[in-house]
Amino acid sequence: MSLLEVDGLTVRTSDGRTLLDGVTWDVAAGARLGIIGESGSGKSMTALAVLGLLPAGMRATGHVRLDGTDLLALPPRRMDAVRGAQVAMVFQEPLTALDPLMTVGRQISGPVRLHQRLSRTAAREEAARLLRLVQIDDTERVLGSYPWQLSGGQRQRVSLAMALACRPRVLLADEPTTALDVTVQAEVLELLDDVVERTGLALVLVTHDLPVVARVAQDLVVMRDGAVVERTTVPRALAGDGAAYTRELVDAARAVTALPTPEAR
Amino acid sequence: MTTGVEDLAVREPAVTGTPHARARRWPPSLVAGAVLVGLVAVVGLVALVWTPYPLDVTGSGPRLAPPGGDFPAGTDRLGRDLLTQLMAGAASALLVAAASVVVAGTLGLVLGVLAAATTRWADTVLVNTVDVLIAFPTLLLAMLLVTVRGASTATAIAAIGISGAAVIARVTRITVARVLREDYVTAATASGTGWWGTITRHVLPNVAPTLLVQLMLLAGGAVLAESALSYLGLGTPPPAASWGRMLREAQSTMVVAPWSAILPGLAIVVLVLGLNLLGDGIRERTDPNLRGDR
Amino acid sequence: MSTPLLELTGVTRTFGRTTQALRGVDLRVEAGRGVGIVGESGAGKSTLLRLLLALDSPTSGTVTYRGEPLDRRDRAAVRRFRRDVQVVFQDPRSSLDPRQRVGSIVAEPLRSLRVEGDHRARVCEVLASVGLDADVVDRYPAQFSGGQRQRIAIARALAPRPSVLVADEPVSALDVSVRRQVVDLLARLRDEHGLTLVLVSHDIAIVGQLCERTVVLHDGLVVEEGATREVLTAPREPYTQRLLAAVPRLPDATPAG
Repeated sequence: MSLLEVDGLTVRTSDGRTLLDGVTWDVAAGARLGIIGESGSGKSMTALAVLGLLPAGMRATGHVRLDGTDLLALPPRRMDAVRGAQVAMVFQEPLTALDPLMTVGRQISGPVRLHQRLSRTAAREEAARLLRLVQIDDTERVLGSYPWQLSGGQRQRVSLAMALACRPRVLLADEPTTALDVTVQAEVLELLDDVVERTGLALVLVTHDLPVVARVAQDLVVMRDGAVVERTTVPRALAGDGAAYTRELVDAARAVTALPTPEAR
Repeated sequence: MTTGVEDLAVREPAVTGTPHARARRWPPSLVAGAVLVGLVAVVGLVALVWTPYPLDVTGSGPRLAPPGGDFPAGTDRLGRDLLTQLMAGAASALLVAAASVVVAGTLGLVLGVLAAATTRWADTVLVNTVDVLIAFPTLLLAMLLVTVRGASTATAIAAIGISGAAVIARVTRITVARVLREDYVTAATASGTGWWGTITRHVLPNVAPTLLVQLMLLAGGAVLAESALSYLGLGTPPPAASWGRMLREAQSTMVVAPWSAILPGLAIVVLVLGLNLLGDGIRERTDPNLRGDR
Repeated sequence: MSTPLLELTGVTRTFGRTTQALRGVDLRVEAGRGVGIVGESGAGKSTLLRLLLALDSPTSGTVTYRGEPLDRRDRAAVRRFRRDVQVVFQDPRSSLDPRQRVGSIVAEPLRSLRVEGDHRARVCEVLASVGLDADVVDRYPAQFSGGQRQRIAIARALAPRPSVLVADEPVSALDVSVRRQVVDLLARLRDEHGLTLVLVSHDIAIVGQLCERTVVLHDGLVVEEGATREVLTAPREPYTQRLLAAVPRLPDATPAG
C-alpha cells in the first residue's frame, strides 16, 4: 500500500515550456526511495512540486496523493497544514534552511508548539528528545546555540530534527549530504537509515550521487530531462539490468569512485 | 586528432539563449523610460536653437493668457510664453541631471574602487566620510555652497553631484568588494593580470550595470533636487529657465491660472518617471538572474 | 634527487591571532610526479592552495620555486612563476568572467604574461586540445554547460604552456558523467603536455586516478604521505583509514564479459 503517490506530475512554465513531464512513482510507509538524476533532470523540481513550493510562474498538473488525498487539488491554506506536519523536507545547505537569528531550541520548538499545541516547557523537552533522535548528545548546548555556531554535520542534524519535529509521514531529502565532508556524510546517511527504521516514515532521497542512494535506498527512480527514465531497484540497477541510461550512470559512478587496487597499475 | 573528446563534449547539451531570454532584451520599462526621457531630450535640444518666443522678453503676450492660440501653454503673470519656458526648462533640467551624474559617477566610482580594492586604511576613511555626507541633506549642502559661492547652476550641480557621489561611492564599494571575491578575479591574478588590469577588465564591466541603474535613479533625484533648489531660489538663477522656478512663480497665480503650476509639475514628473523607468529597464535587461543563463 | 618544481618547508599560515590554518607543512612537487592533496573542510586545503599559487605568503617557513625562494614582490620572478604554474578552480560558473567572450578569457594569461607569438592561434590550439571548436571564441560562458565551461577554464590554464597545473576540486561541481570526461581529459593532457598535476581535493577517487603521490592533510598538518597506491590501499594513519572507509562506493559488479 503506497503512502505517497505521484501520478503523471507535469510542470509547465507560464511561457509554455515543459519542465517535468508525466513523473510517476510511489513510496510506502517505512520504505526508502531514491530519485537520481544529473543537473537539469528535474529531480529537485519534483520534490518542490510535491510540497507545493514551485516558484511563481510554474504550474503543476497531475496528481500527488498522500493517503488518497490529492495534494495538488488542496487549497493553499490546507496545503500549509500538510507541509511540515505530514510531508517534511531537508535541504542541501542547512545554513540557508535555518534562521540565523534564532537559537536552535526556539527553531525546533516553534513548529512543535504550533502543530502539537504543547506548552513552552513541554516543547523544549520535545526538542531535546528530537536532538537525541538525530544523535546529538550535548542537547542543552546545541539548543542554546545559533546555527552558525554549529559544524556542518551538526547543522544538518538540526535541520533533520526540525523536519522530524511534527512527526511527518514522508521525509523528502534533497541532496542532504552533498555539502558535507565524507566522514560526516557517512554518519548522516546512517542516521537517515536509523530514523526510517525507528519512526517508520517514508523516505524520498533526491540526489545526483548514486553511491549515496545505494547506501540508503532500495527503490530507485532514474530521471533525465524532466522525465522518468525508469523505475527500478538499487540491486537491479547495479547489476546492469534495465535502461541504457541507468547503466551509463552506474558505469560513470563506478569509474569516478574507483580506487586503485593493490595489484593494479 | 584527439581521441573521441569532441563527441563526448557534444553529448552534453549546451545552455544557449532561449526565446524566453530574447523576449527580455527590450523590457517594457526600458522602452517606456527611453521614450519619456527621449521626448524631454528632443524638446530640450530644440530649445537650444529655437523657441516660439525669446526667453527673457517679458510681455510677449497678454498676462495670464490661458493655453491656446498664439500661446499653446498660456502665459505667466509677466506675459511670458510658458511653452518657451517649459522648453528651455527641459534643457536646463537635463543639463543639471547629466552634469551631476557625471560628477557623482566619476567621484563615486573612483572613491568606491579605491576603498574596496586598495588598503584597509582607504576603506575606513571613505566609509566614515561617506556616512557623514549621506547624513547631510543635499539641500543643506546646497545652502552652504550658495552662501559661499552664490546661487548658480554650477553650485546646484556641485551640491547634487557631491551628495550623489557619496551614494555612488557606497554602492561601488560594496559591488566591487563582491566581484573581487569571485573566482574569476583570483583566476586573473593567477594568470598574471595586475591590479589595474583586473579592475578595468573584470571589475568595472561587472559593476557597470549596477552602477548604471544607480546613476539613472540619481539622475531622477537630481532633477527633483534642482527643482527644489530653484523653487527655494538656490538653483538656476533668472533669466535662465527652470521648472522649479516656474513653480515658485506660479505659486501666487495658481488659483486663477492653474496651468502655470500644472505644466511644469507635469514636466518634472515625466522626466523623473522616465529616468526611473530607464533604470528599472537597465536592471531587468542586465540582471543575469533574469537572463537565460543558469 | 632533482630540484623540485615547488617545495614548501615548515610552512605555517596564521590568520588573526588564533586561527592556525597550516601548522608546519612540508611538501615537494617534483616534475612528472603529480601530487594529490586530500583533506576535509577545515584541513587547510584552500590556504595551502593559495600558497602554492603564490597568491599568499606563509607566516613562517619557505616556499621555493625551482630551487629559488619565491619573493612575491619580485615582479619578474612572479611572472616567470605564473607562466609555469597555472590553476583550474572548482566551479567554472564563477571562475570565468561572465562578461567576457571565451576567446578573451582563454587569451588572458597570454596577454597578461606577455607571452610572445600569435595569441589567436594559440587560443584555437588549446581549445582544440580540450575538445572545443574554434568558433566558441565569440560566445559567452553562460552559453555553455558546466562541463564545457570547465574545459574552457582548463584551456585558459594551458595557454601559456605551464609545467605545473594546480587544480582545486576540478570536477566536484560537475555531473557524474561529465566528471569522468574531465578526469579523462586531465589525464590525457598530463601525458600529452608533460604536465605535473597538483590536485587539491576532498575526493580521494580522483586523486587515485590522476596522481602518483598522495598527501593527506588534516587540521593543518600532513598526517600521511606516500605513493598514491600505498596510501589508498594500505593507509597507516587511523585518520586516512577513516577517510577511506567513509567514501561511498558502489558494490562491485560481477565482471561482465
